[in-house]
Amino acid sequence: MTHANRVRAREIFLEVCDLAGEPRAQQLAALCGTDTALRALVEAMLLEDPGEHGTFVPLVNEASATDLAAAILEAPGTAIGPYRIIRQLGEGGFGTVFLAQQDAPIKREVALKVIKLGMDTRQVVARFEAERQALAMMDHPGIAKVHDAGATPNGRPYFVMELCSGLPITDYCDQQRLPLRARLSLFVQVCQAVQHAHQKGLIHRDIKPSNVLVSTVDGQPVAKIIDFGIAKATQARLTEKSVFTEQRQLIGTPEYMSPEQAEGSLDIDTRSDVYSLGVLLYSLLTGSTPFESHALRSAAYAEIQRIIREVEPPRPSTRLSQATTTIDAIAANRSTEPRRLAPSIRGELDWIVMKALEKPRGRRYSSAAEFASDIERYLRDEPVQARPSSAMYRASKFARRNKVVVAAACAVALSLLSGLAATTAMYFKANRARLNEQSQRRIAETKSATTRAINDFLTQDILVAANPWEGEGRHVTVAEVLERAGSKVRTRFEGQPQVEASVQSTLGESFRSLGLFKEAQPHYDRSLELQRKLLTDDSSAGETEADLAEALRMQAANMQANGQFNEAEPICRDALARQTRLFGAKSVQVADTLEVLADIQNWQSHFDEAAKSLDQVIHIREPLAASGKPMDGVALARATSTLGSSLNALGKFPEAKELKLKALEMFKKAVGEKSPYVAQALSDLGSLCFEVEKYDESEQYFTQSLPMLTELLGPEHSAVLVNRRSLANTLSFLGKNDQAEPMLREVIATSERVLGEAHPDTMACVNSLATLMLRNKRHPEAEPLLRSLYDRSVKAFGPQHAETLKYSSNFAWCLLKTGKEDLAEKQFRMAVEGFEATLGRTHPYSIDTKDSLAQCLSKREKWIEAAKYDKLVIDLNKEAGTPEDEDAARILGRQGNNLLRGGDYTNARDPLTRSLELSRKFFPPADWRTGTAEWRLGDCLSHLNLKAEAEELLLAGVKKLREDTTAPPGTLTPGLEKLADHYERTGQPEQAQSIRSELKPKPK
Amino acid sequence: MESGSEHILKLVEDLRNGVPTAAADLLPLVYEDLRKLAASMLGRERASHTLQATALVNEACMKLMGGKAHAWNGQDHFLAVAAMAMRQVLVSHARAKNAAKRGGDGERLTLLDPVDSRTGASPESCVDVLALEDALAALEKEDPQLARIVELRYFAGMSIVQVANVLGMSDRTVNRLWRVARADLATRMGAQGTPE
Repeated sequence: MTHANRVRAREIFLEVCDLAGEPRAQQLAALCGTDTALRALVEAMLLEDPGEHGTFVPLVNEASATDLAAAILEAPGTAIGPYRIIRQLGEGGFGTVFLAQQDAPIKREVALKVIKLGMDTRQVVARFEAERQALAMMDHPGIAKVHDAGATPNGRPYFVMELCSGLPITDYCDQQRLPLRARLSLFVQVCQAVQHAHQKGLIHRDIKPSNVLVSTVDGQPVAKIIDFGIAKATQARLTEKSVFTEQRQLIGTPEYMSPEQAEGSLDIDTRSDVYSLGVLLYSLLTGSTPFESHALRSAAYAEIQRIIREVEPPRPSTRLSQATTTIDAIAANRSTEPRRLAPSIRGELDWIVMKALEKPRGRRYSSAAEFASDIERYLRDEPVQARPSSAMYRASKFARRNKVVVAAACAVALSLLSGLAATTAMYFKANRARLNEQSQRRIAETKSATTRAINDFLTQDILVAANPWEGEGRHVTVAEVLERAGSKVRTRFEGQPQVEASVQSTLGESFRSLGLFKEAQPHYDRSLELQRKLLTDDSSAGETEADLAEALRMQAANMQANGQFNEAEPICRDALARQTRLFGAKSVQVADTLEVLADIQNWQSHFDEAAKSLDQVIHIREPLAASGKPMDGVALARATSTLGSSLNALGKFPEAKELKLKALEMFKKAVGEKSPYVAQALSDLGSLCFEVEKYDESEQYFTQSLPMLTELLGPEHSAVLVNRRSLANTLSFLGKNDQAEPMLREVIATSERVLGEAHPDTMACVNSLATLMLRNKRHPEAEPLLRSLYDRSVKAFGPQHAETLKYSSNFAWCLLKTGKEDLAEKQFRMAVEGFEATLGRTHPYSIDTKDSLAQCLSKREKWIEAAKYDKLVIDLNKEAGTPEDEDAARILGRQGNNLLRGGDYTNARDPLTRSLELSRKFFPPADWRTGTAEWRLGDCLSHLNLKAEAEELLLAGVKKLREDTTAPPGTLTPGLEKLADHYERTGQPEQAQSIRSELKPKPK
Repeated sequence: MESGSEHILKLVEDLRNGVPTAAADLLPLVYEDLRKLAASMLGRERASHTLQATALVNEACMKLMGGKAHAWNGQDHFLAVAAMAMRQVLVSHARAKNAAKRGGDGERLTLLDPVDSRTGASPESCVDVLALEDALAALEKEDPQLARIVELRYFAGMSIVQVANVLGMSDRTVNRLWRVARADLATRMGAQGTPE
């Protein structure tokens, strides 16, 4: 019913209410006309009219005095400070909210929240005063302002806030039947408001639906957060905690309380709000909180704390699929069908919510803004940052608490047992024919002794290590469990060297699979030590040597992964020799070890040797892969891919890319679309495209592989770090430095922590950052980075290593640009020599550094030597099969110019002539570069006394330089000088004079 | 309390003379006094059960203005202010009770005095306070004067003559406006499906 209709209806009512019968009907008809709705309304009103003398019972008379008295008493004092209560708006756990009127200094309506009795008013107000400054700085449409705080005459603390209308966010969403996407958008608003407050240093501490009010403004839902700064003021300090515990006055709402709040921690930061936001999102999605209210409300305080701190809530989609009785209503409130709801949340939304709800705050989104961006990414159908827990990470999560650590320890136990079982099985397989009765008995004895010893090891070492009470209450990770266990192995297995060897290498493998190469090393060392000893003690045992060879291979692989390839090589070759002898040259064992060797050779920059090793590996693996077993397929794909890398390093890009694509398909065929192998293959392709400067394609491959790798391996795995670095490099080359630089700095920090300063991956990443700076002309910033990088690399790899030489060359370039040309020259010379020795004369790196050295020498006015290197670059390019193009024109021109400057006119003539020919061929007709080639040749000919030809070329060159508007500044002057020189030389002083006067700087 | 009482009388006088701020100034005083009275009344145990709410307001009025209420002819004006207070009290009380019952079967709350012999406590006379408040708030936006009449009648229990006195209108006008206001509210409340 419209407002106007109501007004008109009342007017008509007054006209007809004293009439009756026919006159009333006539009048009604006349006044209402054809407006049937209006007439119906008036008639309804007339029906309700008891007439002139109708009886009436005032409401106040109907109220019982007791009710009324209670009602009056429940209301607060009418005037509180400068505020006058108008009416009650609501009542909450720790206070009552009133609509109040403020008259001075400004007239406005406010919300006044009176805190229940029982809190120390002075403290509450004092705490509020402490935050008042920060509160005053908050200015965000999504946050209700808090104006004031004080004490009522009765001594109850109160807060005065901006008046907000609206419903609690969960009620609003249900009432409006907002679908999921609309709920998410609304939630993003809330996050952004919270972020604003966080930036001002304020933490809410009590984010829950009733503190997030939503109303419709211009047809759009608008959220406003109330009570900012109030929870902090009313929150008990730790010393008051016990009192609060007894009174059950939990601050915050247990359903929305973060684990650290539940613990009563003093150290609450913005990530506590992120947790509460996570609970809020959980409710918006599922209609219930992660821990069901009745479970929390009925529990004792200690139990509530335990639930919040330790219990993993079900994922939102899981919760929905369990909500069989209420799912219809939940779905209807989200304008969707029950069967669709859980699937639409499963996956990314689950991950997002669960990331916000992580128990350790370090695993949550680091800010509300980050939380919001991930949801926005989801809304834009982009991959989200949140990931489901990877297997390893899940294991470490399990390991956190006593009960679950048992499970983690069992996982370690399982891997130990299966490792041993495999070793034992291998003895049988390899040596069945040769086994005599005695050795069979010995193996049986060993097996039972092994089982016993391992049982003790598990129950007494690993489980004790996993006990959080021994761990000073800290969270115990699987790595820590391994570490503690590792320290006990020696004593536990004393007198059982074979068992200890197995356990040691299993521990090594466990560390290595976590990417903890340094930690793995001593276990491999010890295992090897034991195996060697066993072998000398019992030289007849072939199984022992097979075991030793396997241990050697693992040791070598770990050393390679740890960057110690020179030490790794002899170990690897030792293993290879033994295995060739034991199993034959075409055995799988040999193929496995050859692959490790190829990795080592690649790292030693012996790429052609690596390629040979890999050809052998592929030869062995191909028939196996044809059988269709996934792991055989993976092994073949891996070898194919590594071969691609070697060829790539040898400068054979097209072959390399073909092999990498082939490997990607092999991986997919063997293990499906989503696996670390596929991710790694994608990442390899990214690197390859990067090297041939196809950055767009490269970015695509990297952005495909990165989330896959992170999800599968965890964020700190070395493969993930390499991938992130590569993506950053690509972004940098695409000009997206604002994304690339922070990414690189982050990876460096993580890499230094996880892998160490001298690890090749860490150094490669520092190099990436330095080259980013070089490309952006930030030479002074890059110089110290490159210097330390070079020093580190010499120490780690040796001065002749390809990586060291690369860093040396970058360092030299930086020195050249910061004016330290002598140092640059020294550094370039080292790089030139080194590259030629390690990579060969025609490798692009060898040629590029010679080009750089030539530029450096030219800068130092060592003209003739510069020209020598120019010539070398030209010849080597020819040798490498690079077609003569405009680049050749540039280098030939430079060579000729260097010779001119050095006074060797005779030898300058040929390169300058060739440069001019090429320039005319590749550049547009009147291009300034052709002009430069012309005057240079003209200058040369002038010195060689070919006057007419020289003058013609000089004039033509100068003309092009004058007329081509694209010519860089400073390119005309040397041409004019040479022309003037020529005039003087040929007895034309007037022309020379006129040119010279043009060259003189004009008086200012 | 002499000066306080003088102050109140002055405010009531202002109210009669149409000083716009008088009601706002008087309201908290009335409210405060209602509180004190209610507290003491509940303390009187059984006596309270027989006490009508109207009596409470009257008692408050007498107490506030001392013996001079009649002399100043200010009682009606005082009641007019009390009506606003009573409206707040009754509505917020109903809301609080309703909120407490939310999640139950959605039972509507009515205020009913079972000992009120005049109405016989028939179901028809039960007024849903919250439905009335919603309707009244809507009417208030369209026509504040009509709403004021309803407020005075319902929440202060005033007669037509008393309302006419307070608002400075003829009895007949007030009666007609009261009829239209009541009919208007009834259709609004009916539209919300209120049991009547």
